[in-house]
Amino acid sequence: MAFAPDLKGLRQKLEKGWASFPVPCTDSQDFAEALVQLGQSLGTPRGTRSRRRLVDELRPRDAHEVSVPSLSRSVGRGMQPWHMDEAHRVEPARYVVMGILECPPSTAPTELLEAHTLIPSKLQEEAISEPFLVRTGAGSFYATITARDQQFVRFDPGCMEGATERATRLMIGLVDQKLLPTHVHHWNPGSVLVIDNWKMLHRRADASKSMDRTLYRVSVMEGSSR
Amino acid sequence: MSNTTKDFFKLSKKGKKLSPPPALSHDALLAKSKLLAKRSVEAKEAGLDVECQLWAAAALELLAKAQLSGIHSSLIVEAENNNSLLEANGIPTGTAVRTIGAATAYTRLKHTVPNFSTPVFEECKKLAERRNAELHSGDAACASMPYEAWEGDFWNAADLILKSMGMDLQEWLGADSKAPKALLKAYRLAEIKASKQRVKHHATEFKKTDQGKLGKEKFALLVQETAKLPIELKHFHYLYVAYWHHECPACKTVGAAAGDEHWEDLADDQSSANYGFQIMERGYSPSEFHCPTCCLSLVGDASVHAAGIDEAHVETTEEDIKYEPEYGND
Repeated sequence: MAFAPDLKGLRQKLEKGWASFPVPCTDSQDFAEALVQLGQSLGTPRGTRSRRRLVDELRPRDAHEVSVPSLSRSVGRGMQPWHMDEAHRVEPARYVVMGILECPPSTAPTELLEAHTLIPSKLQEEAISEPFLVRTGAGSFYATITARDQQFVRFDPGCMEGATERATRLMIGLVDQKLLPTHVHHWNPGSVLVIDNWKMLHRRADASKSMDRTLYRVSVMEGSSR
Repeated sequence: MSNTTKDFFKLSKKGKKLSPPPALSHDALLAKSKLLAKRSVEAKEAGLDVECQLWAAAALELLAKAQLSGIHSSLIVEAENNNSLLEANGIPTGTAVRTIGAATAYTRLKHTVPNFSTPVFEECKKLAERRNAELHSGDAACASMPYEAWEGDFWNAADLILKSMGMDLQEWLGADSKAPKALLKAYRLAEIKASKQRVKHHATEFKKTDQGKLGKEKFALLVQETAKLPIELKHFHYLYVAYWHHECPACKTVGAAAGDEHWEDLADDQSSANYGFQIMERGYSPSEFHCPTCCLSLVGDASVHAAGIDEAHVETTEEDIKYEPEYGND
Protein backbone atom coordinates (compact mmCIF):
# COMPACT_ATOMS: atom_id res chain seq x y z
CA MET A 1 0.00 0.00 0.00
CA ALA A 2 1.61 3.28 -1.08
CA PHE A 3 1.54 5.93 1.62
CA ALA A 4 1.68 9.53 0.45
CA PRO A 5 2.40 11.88 3.35
CA ASP A 6 1.84 15.61 2.98
CA LEU A 7 5.53 16.39 3.10
CA LYS A 8 5.26 20.18 3.13
CA GLY A 9 2.72 20.10 5.93
CA LEU A 10 4.82 17.59 7.84
CA ARG A 11 7.98 19.69 7.64
CA GLN A 12 6.05 22.74 8.82
CA LYS A 13 4.74 20.83 11.82
CA LEU A 14 8.20 19.45 12.54
CA GLU A 15 9.54 22.96 13.03
CA LYS A 16 8.16 22.76 16.54
CA GLY A 17 10.02 19.48 17.01
CA TRP A 18 7.34 16.88 16.50
CA ALA A 19 4.26 15.99 14.50
CA SER A 20 1.56 13.40 14.96
CA PHE A 21 -1.22 12.11 12.75
CA PRO A 22 -3.14 8.93 12.02
CA VAL A 23 -2.06 6.48 9.33
CA PRO A 24 -4.91 4.43 7.84
CA CYS A 25 -3.69 0.82 7.98
CA THR A 26 -5.14 -2.39 9.31
CA ASP A 27 -2.25 -4.70 8.59
CA SER A 28 1.00 -4.61 10.57
CA GLN A 29 3.11 -5.13 7.46
CA ASP A 30 1.40 -2.23 5.65
CA PHE A 31 1.79 -0.10 8.77
CA ALA A 32 5.50 -0.81 9.02
CA GLU A 33 5.92 -0.12 5.31
CA ALA A 34 4.05 3.19 5.71
CA LEU A 35 6.47 4.22 8.46
CA VAL A 36 9.43 3.37 6.21
CA GLN A 37 7.94 5.45 3.39
CA LEU A 38 7.43 8.32 5.80
CA GLY A 39 11.05 7.96 6.85
CA GLN A 40 12.21 7.93 3.22
CA SER A 41 10.35 11.18 2.60
CA LEU A 42 12.29 12.80 5.45
CA GLY A 43 15.75 11.34 4.90
CA THR A 44 17.44 7.94 4.87
CA PRO A 45 16.05 5.24 7.14
CA ARG A 46 18.75 3.30 8.93
CA GLY A 47 18.55 -0.02 10.77
CA THR A 48 19.47 0.06 14.44
CA ARG A 49 20.71 -3.22 15.92
CA SER A 50 20.04 -5.07 12.69
CA ARG A 51 21.48 -3.34 9.63
CA ARG A 52 19.03 -5.21 7.41
CA ARG A 53 15.77 -4.36 9.19
CA LEU A 54 14.59 -0.78 9.02
CA VAL A 55 11.63 -1.16 11.37
CA ASP A 56 12.10 -1.94 15.06
CA GLU A 57 9.26 -3.54 17.03
CA LEU A 58 9.59 -2.43 20.63
CA ARG A 59 7.77 -3.91 23.59
CA PRO A 60 8.24 -3.02 27.25
CA ARG A 61 10.35 -5.64 29.02
CA ASP A 62 11.36 -6.28 32.59
CA ALA A 63 15.00 -5.52 33.29
CA HIS A 64 15.89 -9.15 33.97
CA GLU A 65 14.60 -10.14 30.49
CA VAL A 66 17.13 -7.92 28.76
CA SER A 67 20.62 -9.24 28.08
CA VAL A 68 21.99 -6.43 25.91
CA PRO A 69 22.80 -2.85 26.97
CA SER A 70 19.75 -0.61 26.68
CA LEU A 71 17.50 1.59 28.79
CA SER A 72 15.22 -1.40 29.28
CA ARG A 73 18.04 -3.16 31.10
CA SER A 74 18.31 -0.32 33.59
CA VAL A 75 14.68 0.79 34.07
CA GLY A 76 12.68 -2.19 32.80
CA ARG A 77 9.05 -1.16 32.34
CA GLY A 78 9.46 1.94 34.49
CA MET A 79 9.61 5.51 33.28
CA GLN A 80 12.66 6.08 31.12
CA PRO A 81 15.01 9.01 31.66
CA TRP A 82 15.01 11.83 29.10
CA HIS A 83 17.15 10.84 26.13
CA MET A 84 17.67 11.19 22.43
CA ASP A 85 17.72 8.10 20.25
CA GLU A 86 21.09 7.01 18.87
CA ALA A 87 23.14 9.19 21.19
CA HIS A 88 25.49 6.20 20.89
CA ARG A 89 26.18 6.96 17.23
CA VAL A 90 28.64 9.62 16.17
CA GLU A 91 25.83 11.10 14.10
CA PRO A 92 22.47 10.26 15.71
CA ALA A 93 19.36 9.86 13.61
CA ARG A 94 17.71 13.17 12.73
CA TYR A 95 14.15 11.91 12.92
CA VAL A 96 12.46 9.10 14.77
CA VAL A 97 9.23 7.85 13.26
CA MET A 98 7.13 5.96 15.78
CA GLY A 99 3.79 4.29 15.37
CA ILE A 100 1.41 2.07 17.28
CA LEU A 101 -1.12 0.05 15.30
CA GLU A 102 -3.16 -1.42 18.13
CA CYS A 103 -3.31 -0.43 21.76
CA PRO A 104 -5.67 -0.08 24.72
CA PRO A 105 -6.46 3.46 25.97
CA SER A 106 -4.13 3.13 28.97
CA THR A 107 -1.00 2.54 26.86
CA ALA A 108 2.02 4.37 28.27
CA PRO A 109 2.39 7.69 26.47
CA THR A 110 5.56 9.11 24.95
CA GLU A 111 6.68 12.38 26.52
CA LEU A 112 8.71 15.05 24.76
CA LEU A 113 11.05 17.77 26.03
CA GLU A 114 12.72 20.56 24.10
CA ALA A 115 16.38 19.60 24.16
CA HIS A 116 17.67 23.14 24.66
CA THR A 117 15.93 23.27 28.06
CA LEU A 118 17.96 20.36 29.40
CA ILE A 119 21.10 22.32 30.26
CA PRO A 120 20.61 25.26 32.67
CA SER A 121 22.92 28.23 32.00
CA LYS A 122 25.14 27.49 35.00
CA LEU A 123 26.00 24.08 33.49
CA GLN A 124 26.56 25.15 29.88
CA GLU A 125 30.32 25.29 30.24
CA GLU A 126 30.50 21.81 31.68
CA ALA A 127 28.16 20.46 29.06
CA ILE A 128 30.55 21.60 26.32
CA SER A 129 33.79 20.67 28.05
CA GLU A 130 33.32 17.55 30.18
CA PRO A 131 33.86 14.33 28.23
CA PHE A 132 31.69 11.24 28.49
CA LEU A 133 32.43 7.71 27.44
CA VAL A 134 29.63 6.78 25.03
CA ARG A 135 29.64 3.07 25.58
CA THR A 136 28.42 0.90 22.74
CA GLY A 137 30.65 -2.12 22.36
CA ALA A 138 33.25 -1.94 19.60
CA GLY A 139 31.94 1.44 18.45
CA SER A 140 32.43 3.23 21.79
CA PHE A 141 33.76 6.78 21.65
CA TYR A 142 34.16 9.93 23.72
CA ALA A 143 31.91 12.97 23.39
CA THR A 144 30.59 15.98 25.24
CA ILE A 145 26.88 16.66 25.69
CA THR A 146 27.03 19.80 23.58
CA ALA A 147 29.72 20.91 21.15
CA ARG A 148 30.44 23.87 18.90
CA ASP A 149 28.71 23.38 15.51
CA GLN A 150 26.84 20.36 16.88
CA GLN A 151 23.15 20.81 16.21
CA PHE A 152 21.89 18.40 18.83
CA VAL A 153 22.21 17.75 22.54
CA ARG A 154 23.82 14.32 22.91
CA PHE A 155 22.07 12.86 25.96
CA ASP A 156 21.29 9.32 27.03
CA PRO A 157 22.07 8.22 30.59
CA GLY A 158 21.83 4.61 29.38
CA CYS A 159 25.02 4.78 27.35
CA MET A 160 26.89 7.89 28.54
CA GLU A 161 29.26 7.55 31.48
CA GLY A 162 31.20 10.51 32.82
CA ALA A 163 34.88 10.19 31.97
CA THR A 164 35.71 12.79 34.63
CA GLU A 165 34.28 13.44 38.09
CA ARG A 166 32.69 16.66 36.86
CA ALA A 167 31.08 14.80 33.98
CA THR A 168 29.65 12.20 36.35
CA ARG A 169 28.27 14.95 38.61
CA LEU A 170 26.91 16.77 35.57
CA MET A 171 24.96 13.69 34.45
CA ILE A 172 23.53 13.16 37.96
CA GLY A 173 22.57 16.82 38.12
CA LEU A 174 20.84 16.78 34.74
CA VAL A 175 18.90 13.60 35.47
CA ASP A 176 17.88 14.88 38.91
CA GLN A 177 16.29 18.02 37.46
CA LYS A 178 13.04 16.12 36.97
CA LEU A 179 12.05 18.29 34.05
CA LEU A 180 8.41 18.20 33.03
CA PRO A 181 7.51 17.33 29.45
CA THR A 182 6.85 19.97 26.84
CA HIS A 183 4.30 17.69 25.22
CA VAL A 184 2.72 14.34 26.06
CA HIS A 185 1.70 12.12 23.17
CA HIS A 186 -1.13 9.76 24.09
CA TRP A 187 -1.26 6.81 21.71
CA ASN A 188 -4.33 5.85 19.74
CA PRO A 189 -4.54 2.85 17.42
CA GLY A 190 -2.95 3.71 14.07
CA SER A 191 -1.29 6.91 15.28
CA VAL A 192 2.17 8.02 14.25
CA LEU A 193 4.52 10.37 16.05
CA VAL A 194 7.48 11.89 14.20
CA ILE A 195 10.13 13.41 16.43
CA ASP A 196 12.92 15.72 15.38
CA ASN A 197 15.54 13.83 17.37
CA TRP A 198 17.93 16.77 17.21
CA LYS A 199 15.44 19.22 18.73
CA MET A 200 13.59 17.07 21.22
CA LEU A 201 14.43 14.59 23.93
CA HIS A 202 11.84 11.97 24.68
CA ARG A 203 10.98 9.20 27.11
CA ARG A 204 8.44 6.47 27.51
CA ALA A 205 6.26 6.91 30.57
CA ASP A 206 5.84 4.08 33.07
CA ALA A 207 4.73 1.02 31.09
CA SER A 208 4.17 -1.38 33.99
CA LYS A 209 0.53 -1.63 33.05
CA SER A 210 1.03 -1.56 29.27
CA MET A 211 1.17 -5.25 28.58
CA ASP A 212 0.16 -5.06 24.90
CA ARG A 213 2.22 -2.12 23.74
CA THR A 214 4.03 -2.74 20.47
CA LEU A 215 5.70 0.35 19.12
CA TYR A 216 7.06 0.39 15.57
CA ARG A 217 10.02 2.65 15.04
CA VAL A 218 12.07 3.83 12.06
CA SER A 219 15.25 5.83 12.65
CA VAL A 220 15.95 8.33 9.88
CA MET A 221 19.28 9.90 8.99
CA GLU A 222 19.53 13.45 7.72
CA GLY A 223 19.71 13.67 3.94
CA SER A 224 18.42 11.48 1.13
CA SER A 225 20.23 8.45 -0.24
CA ARG A 226 18.35 8.74 -3.56
CA MET B 1 55.00 22.23 1.49
CA SER B 2 52.61 23.93 3.89
CA ASN B 3 49.83 26.12 2.68
CA THR B 4 49.29 28.90 5.17
CA THR B 5 46.89 30.90 3.08
CA LYS B 6 43.89 28.79 4.03
CA ASP B 7 42.72 27.43 7.35
CA PHE B 8 41.51 24.09 6.02
CA PHE B 9 40.22 22.97 9.40
CA LYS B 10 37.94 26.01 9.78
CA LEU B 11 36.75 25.66 6.19
CA SER B 12 35.89 22.04 6.77
CA LYS B 13 34.03 22.72 10.02
CA LYS B 14 31.96 25.34 8.25
CA GLY B 15 30.82 22.55 5.98
CA LYS B 16 32.71 23.87 2.99
CA LYS B 17 33.68 20.96 0.79
CA LEU B 18 37.27 21.30 -0.34
CA SER B 19 37.47 20.39 -4.01
CA PRO B 20 39.98 17.82 -5.18
CA PRO B 21 42.01 18.46 -8.36
CA PRO B 22 40.50 17.47 -11.74
CA ALA B 23 42.54 14.25 -11.78
CA LEU B 24 40.47 13.06 -8.83
CA SER B 25 37.20 14.84 -9.47
CA HIS B 26 34.12 12.67 -9.93
CA ASP B 27 32.68 14.96 -12.58
CA ALA B 28 35.92 15.13 -14.56
CA LEU B 29 36.45 11.37 -14.41
CA LEU B 30 32.88 10.71 -15.47
CA ALA B 31 33.08 13.15 -18.37
CA LYS B 32 36.30 11.59 -19.61
CA SER B 33 34.89 8.08 -19.27
CA LYS B 34 32.00 9.17 -21.52
CA LEU B 35 34.47 10.45 -24.11
CA LEU B 36 36.50 7.24 -24.10
CA ALA B 37 33.38 5.05 -24.24
CA LYS B 38 32.20 6.98 -27.31
CA ARG B 39 35.63 6.47 -28.91
CA SER B 40 35.25 2.74 -28.29
CA VAL B 41 31.86 2.69 -30.03
CA GLU B 42 33.25 4.69 -32.95
CA ALA B 43 36.25 2.36 -33.21
CA LYS B 44 33.94 -0.65 -33.45
CA GLU B 45 31.87 1.03 -36.15
CA ALA B 46 35.11 1.67 -38.05
CA GLY B 47 36.11 -1.98 -37.74
CA LEU B 48 39.07 -1.21 -35.46
CA ASP B 49 38.93 -4.18 -33.05
CA VAL B 50 42.03 -3.46 -31.02
CA GLU B 51 41.32 0.25 -30.61
CA CYS B 52 37.75 -0.54 -29.63
CA GLN B 53 38.95 -2.77 -26.82
CA LEU B 54 41.67 -0.36 -25.67
CA TRP B 55 39.25 2.56 -25.44
CA ALA B 56 36.70 0.34 -23.69
CA ALA B 57 39.26 -0.72 -21.07
CA ALA B 58 40.25 2.89 -20.41
CA ALA B 59 36.62 4.03 -20.28
CA LEU B 60 35.71 1.33 -17.78
CA GLU B 61 38.65 2.15 -15.55
CA LEU B 62 37.70 5.83 -15.46
CA LEU B 63 34.05 4.98 -14.87
CA ALA B 64 35.11 2.82 -11.91
CA LYS B 65 37.19 5.67 -10.53
CA ALA B 66 34.35 8.14 -11.06
CA GLN B 67 32.12 5.88 -8.99
CA LEU B 68 34.64 5.68 -6.18
CA SER B 69 35.46 9.37 -6.34
CA GLY B 70 31.77 10.13 -6.06
CA ILE B 71 31.92 8.59 -2.61
CA HIS B 72 35.20 10.27 -1.77
CA SER B 73 38.28 11.16 -3.78
CA SER B 74 40.54 9.42 -1.28
CA LEU B 75 39.20 6.11 -2.60
CA ILE B 76 41.15 6.51 -5.84
CA VAL B 77 44.56 7.52 -4.55
CA GLU B 78 47.34 5.34 -3.26
CA ALA B 79 46.95 5.24 0.49
CA GLU B 80 50.70 5.22 1.13
CA ASN B 81 51.18 8.47 -0.76
CA ASN B 82 50.67 11.28 1.76
CA ASN B 83 50.58 14.06 -0.81
CA SER B 84 47.97 12.29 -2.92
CA LEU B 85 45.79 11.81 0.17
CA LEU B 86 46.05 15.49 0.99
CA GLU B 87 45.21 16.41 -2.61
CA ALA B 88 42.22 14.04 -2.48
CA ASN B 89 40.92 16.08 0.43
CA GLY B 90 41.34 19.37 -1.40
CA ILE B 91 44.61 20.40 0.20
CA PRO B 92 47.10 21.39 -2.53
CA THR B 93 50.65 20.12 -2.13
CA GLY B 94 52.16 21.13 -5.44
CA THR B 95 52.93 17.51 -6.35
CA ALA B 96 51.50 15.23 -9.01
CA VAL B 97 48.68 13.03 -7.86
CA ARG B 98 49.01 9.26 -8.14
CA THR B 99 45.80 7.32 -8.57
CA ILE B 100 45.26 3.62 -7.98
CA GLY B 101 45.46 1.05 -10.76
CA ALA B 102 42.46 -0.46 -12.48
CA ALA B 103 42.66 -3.73 -10.54
CA THR B 104 42.59 -1.89 -7.21
CA ALA B 105 39.68 0.22 -8.37
CA TYR B 106 37.71 -2.87 -9.41
CA THR B 107 38.51 -4.54 -6.07
CA ARG B 108 36.99 -1.57 -4.26
CA LEU B 109 33.92 -1.67 -6.48
CA LYS B 110 33.10 -5.07 -4.98
CA HIS B 111 32.21 -3.09 -1.86
CA THR B 112 30.56 -0.09 -3.44
CA VAL B 113 28.61 -1.39 -6.46
CA PRO B 114 25.68 -3.78 -5.89
CA ASN B 115 25.98 -7.11 -7.78
CA PHE B 116 29.62 -6.41 -8.70
CA SER B 117 30.38 -10.03 -7.96
CA THR B 118 33.56 -12.01 -8.44
CA PRO B 119 32.82 -13.05 -12.05
CA VAL B 120 32.17 -9.41 -13.01
CA PHE B 121 35.30 -8.27 -11.18
CA GLU B 122 37.46 -10.93 -12.85
CA GLU B 123 36.30 -9.97 -16.35
CA CYS B 124 37.05 -6.29 -15.65
CA LYS B 125 40.47 -7.23 -14.37
CA LYS B 126 41.17 -9.33 -17.47
CA LEU B 127 40.18 -6.41 -19.71
CA ALA B 128 42.65 -4.17 -17.84
CA GLU B 129 45.37 -6.81 -18.08
CA ARG B 130 44.86 -7.17 -21.83
CA ARG B 131 45.05 -3.40 -22.20
CA ASN B 132 48.32 -3.34 -20.24
CA ALA B 133 49.77 -6.24 -22.22
CA GLU B 134 48.77 -4.58 -25.51
CA LEU B 135 50.37 -1.26 -24.55
CA HIS B 136 53.41 -2.40 -22.60
CA SER B 137 54.53 -5.69 -24.09
CA GLY B 138 55.07 -7.47 -27.37
CA ASP B 139 51.84 -9.45 -26.95
CA ALA B 140 48.93 -8.89 -29.33
CA ALA B 141 46.64 -9.31 -26.32
CA CYS B 142 43.62 -7.42 -27.64
CA ALA B 143 43.87 -8.56 -31.25
CA SER B 144 43.36 -12.19 -30.29
CA MET B 145 40.11 -11.47 -28.46
CA PRO B 146 37.00 -11.32 -30.66
CA TYR B 147 34.23 -8.88 -29.67
CA GLU B 148 31.93 -11.65 -28.51
CA ALA B 149 34.48 -12.79 -25.95
CA TRP B 150 34.60 -9.56 -24.01
CA GLU B 151 32.11 -6.86 -24.92
CA GLY B 152 29.06 -8.41 -23.23
CA ASP B 153 30.95 -8.52 -19.94
CA PHE B 154 32.23 -4.97 -20.53
CA TRP B 155 28.76 -3.47 -21.06
CA ASN B 156 27.38 -5.50 -18.17
CA ALA B 157 30.04 -4.15 -15.80
CA ALA B 158 29.58 -0.60 -17.10
CA ASP B 159 25.82 -0.89 -16.60
CA LEU B 160 26.22 -2.10 -13.02
CA ILE B 161 28.57 0.76 -12.17
CA LEU B 162 26.29 3.32 -13.85
CA LYS B 163 23.24 1.96 -12.00
CA SER B 164 25.03 2.39 -8.67
CA MET B 165 25.32 6.09 -9.54
CA GLY B 166 21.69 6.37 -10.59
CA MET B 167 22.65 6.48 -14.27
CA ASP B 168 22.29 4.23 -17.30
CA LEU B 169 23.91 3.59 -20.68
CA GLN B 170 21.63 6.20 -22.26
CA GLU B 171 22.98 8.91 -19.99
CA TRP B 172 26.56 7.71 -20.40
CA LEU B 173 26.61 7.44 -24.17
CA GLY B 174 23.72 9.61 -25.31
CA ALA B 175 23.16 9.20 -29.03
CA ASP B 176 25.76 6.41 -29.15
CA SER B 177 23.89 4.26 -26.68
CA LYS B 178 21.52 2.52 -29.08
CA ALA B 179 23.80 -0.30 -30.18
CA PRO B 180 25.35 -0.97 -26.73
CA LYS B 181 21.91 -1.05 -25.09
CA ALA B 182 20.69 -3.57 -27.64
CA LEU B 183 23.87 -5.57 -27.25
CA LEU B 184 23.61 -5.62 -23.45
CA LYS B 185 19.98 -6.67 -23.60
CA ALA B 186 20.85 -9.45 -26.05
CA TYR B 187 23.84 -10.48 -23.92
CA ARG B 188 21.76 -10.76 -20.75
CA LEU B 189 18.97 -12.63 -22.51
CA ALA B 190 21.55 -14.95 -24.06
CA GLU B 191 23.05 -15.63 -20.61
CA ILE B 192 19.63 -16.52 -19.23
CA LYS B 193 18.71 -18.63 -22.24
CA ALA B 194 22.05 -20.43 -22.23
CA SER B 195 21.69 -21.20 -18.56
CA LYS B 196 18.22 -22.66 -18.96
CA GLN B 197 19.33 -24.68 -21.97
CA ARG B 198 22.34 -25.96 -20.11
CA VAL B 199 20.16 -27.10 -17.22
CA LYS B 200 17.75 -28.81 -19.63
CA HIS B 201 20.57 -30.47 -21.54
CA HIS B 202 22.26 -31.82 -18.41
CA ALA B 203 18.92 -33.02 -17.05
CA THR B 204 18.26 -34.93 -20.28
CA GLU B 205 21.75 -36.44 -20.40
CA PHE B 206 21.57 -37.42 -16.73
CA LYS B 207 18.33 -39.32 -17.26
CA LYS B 208 20.17 -41.53 -19.77
CA THR B 209 22.75 -42.59 -17.15
CA ASP B 210 22.38 -45.43 -14.62
CA GLN B 211 22.10 -42.94 -11.81
CA GLY B 212 19.41 -41.11 -13.71
CA LYS B 213 17.31 -44.29 -13.94
CA LEU B 214 17.35 -45.08 -10.22
CA GLY B 215 14.07 -45.71 -8.41
CA LYS B 216 12.77 -43.28 -5.81
CA GLU B 217 14.39 -44.87 -2.78
CA LYS B 218 17.80 -45.47 -4.34
CA PHE B 219 17.76 -41.97 -5.77
CA ALA B 220 17.08 -40.58 -2.31
CA LEU B 221 20.17 -42.47 -1.08
CA LEU B 222 22.20 -41.03 -3.95
CA VAL B 223 21.07 -37.55 -2.97
CA GLN B 224 22.19 -38.19 0.61
CA GLU B 225 25.59 -39.41 -0.58
CA THR B 226 26.15 -36.42 -2.84
CA ALA B 227 25.28 -34.12 0.05
CA LYS B 228 28.25 -35.54 1.94
CA LEU B 229 30.76 -35.10 -0.86
CA PRO B 230 33.50 -32.56 -0.14
CA ILE B 231 33.33 -29.42 -2.28
CA GLU B 232 36.21 -29.32 -4.77
CA LEU B 233 37.37 -25.77 -5.37
CA LYS B 234 39.15 -26.82 -8.58
CA HIS B 235 35.75 -27.16 -10.32
CA PHE B 236 35.07 -23.46 -9.97
CA HIS B 237 36.24 -20.81 -12.40
CA TYR B 238 36.93 -18.25 -9.71
CA LEU B 239 37.81 -18.12 -6.01
CA TYR B 240 35.01 -17.12 -3.66
CA VAL B 241 34.54 -16.37 0.00
CA ALA B 242 32.04 -19.16 0.60
CA TYR B 243 31.03 -22.52 -0.87
CA TRP B 244 27.95 -24.49 0.09
CA HIS B 245 25.88 -27.46 -0.98
CA HIS B 246 22.83 -26.77 -3.13
CA GLU B 247 20.39 -28.93 -5.05
CA CYS B 248 21.36 -29.30 -8.69
CA PRO B 249 18.61 -27.81 -10.88
CA ALA B 250 19.36 -30.42 -13.56
CA CYS B 251 19.80 -33.83 -11.90
CA LYS B 252 18.34 -32.97 -8.45
CA THR B 253 21.30 -34.46 -6.57
CA VAL B 254 23.45 -32.16 -4.46
CA GLY B 255 26.06 -29.94 -6.07
CA ALA B 256 27.92 -26.89 -4.82
CA ALA B 257 27.29 -23.19 -5.12
CA ALA B 258 29.78 -20.43 -4.39
CA GLY B 259 29.64 -16.71 -3.83
CA ASP B 260 30.75 -13.70 -1.87
CA GLU B 261 29.45 -12.16 1.32
CA HIS B 262 26.35 -10.07 0.82
CA TRP B 263 25.59 -9.10 4.42
CA GLU B 264 26.59 -9.75 8.00
CA ASP B 265 24.45 -9.30 11.10
CA LEU B 266 23.99 -10.32 14.69
CA ALA B 267 21.41 -13.15 14.88
CA ASP B 268 18.07 -12.11 16.38
CA ASP B 269 18.03 -15.12 18.65
CA GLN B 270 21.07 -15.11 20.91
CA SER B 271 19.57 -17.51 23.46
CA SER B 272 21.77 -20.44 22.40
CA ALA B 273 25.00 -18.45 22.59
CA ASN B 274 27.35 -19.51 25.35
CA TYR B 275 28.51 -16.91 27.84
CA GLY B 276 31.11 -14.66 26.24
CA PHE B 277 29.99 -15.64 22.73
CA GLN B 278 27.57 -14.22 20.18
CA ILE B 279 25.82 -15.74 17.20
CA MET B 280 26.57 -14.07 13.87
CA GLU B 281 24.73 -14.59 10.61
CA ARG B 282 26.31 -14.00 7.22
CA GLY B 283 24.50 -14.09 3.90
CA TYR B 284 26.33 -15.13 0.72
CA SER B 285 24.98 -14.43 -2.75
CA PRO B 286 25.47 -17.27 -5.29
CA SER B 287 27.63 -16.48 -8.33
CA GLU B 288 28.66 -19.92 -9.53
CA PHE B 289 27.38 -23.51 -9.36
CA HIS B 290 28.91 -26.87 -10.13
CA CYS B 291 27.44 -30.35 -9.91
CA PRO B 292 29.94 -33.25 -9.68
CA THR B 293 27.22 -35.76 -10.61
CA CYS B 294 25.88 -34.41 -13.91
CA CYS B 295 28.73 -31.89 -14.44
CA LEU B 296 26.40 -28.91 -14.81
CA SER B 297 28.48 -25.74 -14.50
CA LEU B 298 26.97 -22.26 -14.28
CA VAL B 299 29.16 -19.17 -14.04
CA GLY B 300 27.94 -15.67 -13.27
CA ASP B 301 25.05 -14.23 -11.30
CA ALA B 302 22.67 -14.11 -14.27
CA SER B 303 23.30 -17.77 -15.18
CA VAL B 304 22.99 -19.00 -11.64
CA HIS B 305 19.84 -16.99 -10.92
CA ALA B 306 18.24 -18.09 -14.20
CA ALA B 307 18.64 -21.69 -13.02
CA GLY B 308 16.72 -20.90 -9.86
CA ILE B 309 19.72 -20.63 -7.56
CA ASP B 310 19.07 -17.14 -6.29
CA GLU B 311 18.55 -17.23 -2.57
CA ALA B 312 21.28 -16.00 -0.28
CA HIS B 313 23.01 -18.78 1.63
CA VAL B 314 23.03 -17.93 5.33
CA GLU B 315 25.70 -19.26 7.63
CA THR B 316 25.48 -19.02 11.38
CA THR B 317 28.57 -19.04 13.54
CA GLU B 318 29.17 -18.64 17.22
CA GLU B 319 32.02 -16.24 17.83
CA ASP B 320 33.63 -15.00 20.96
CA ILE B 321 32.68 -11.50 21.84
CA LYS B 322 35.72 -9.34 21.55
CA TYR B 323 33.79 -6.33 22.86
CA GLU B 324 30.68 -6.00 24.98
CA PRO B 325 27.46 -5.82 22.96
CA GLU B 326 26.38 -2.67 21.20
CA TYR B 327 23.96 -0.35 23.02
CA GLY B 328 20.44 0.03 21.66
CA ASN B 329 17.35 2.17 22.25
CA ASP B 330 15.15 -0.85 22.91
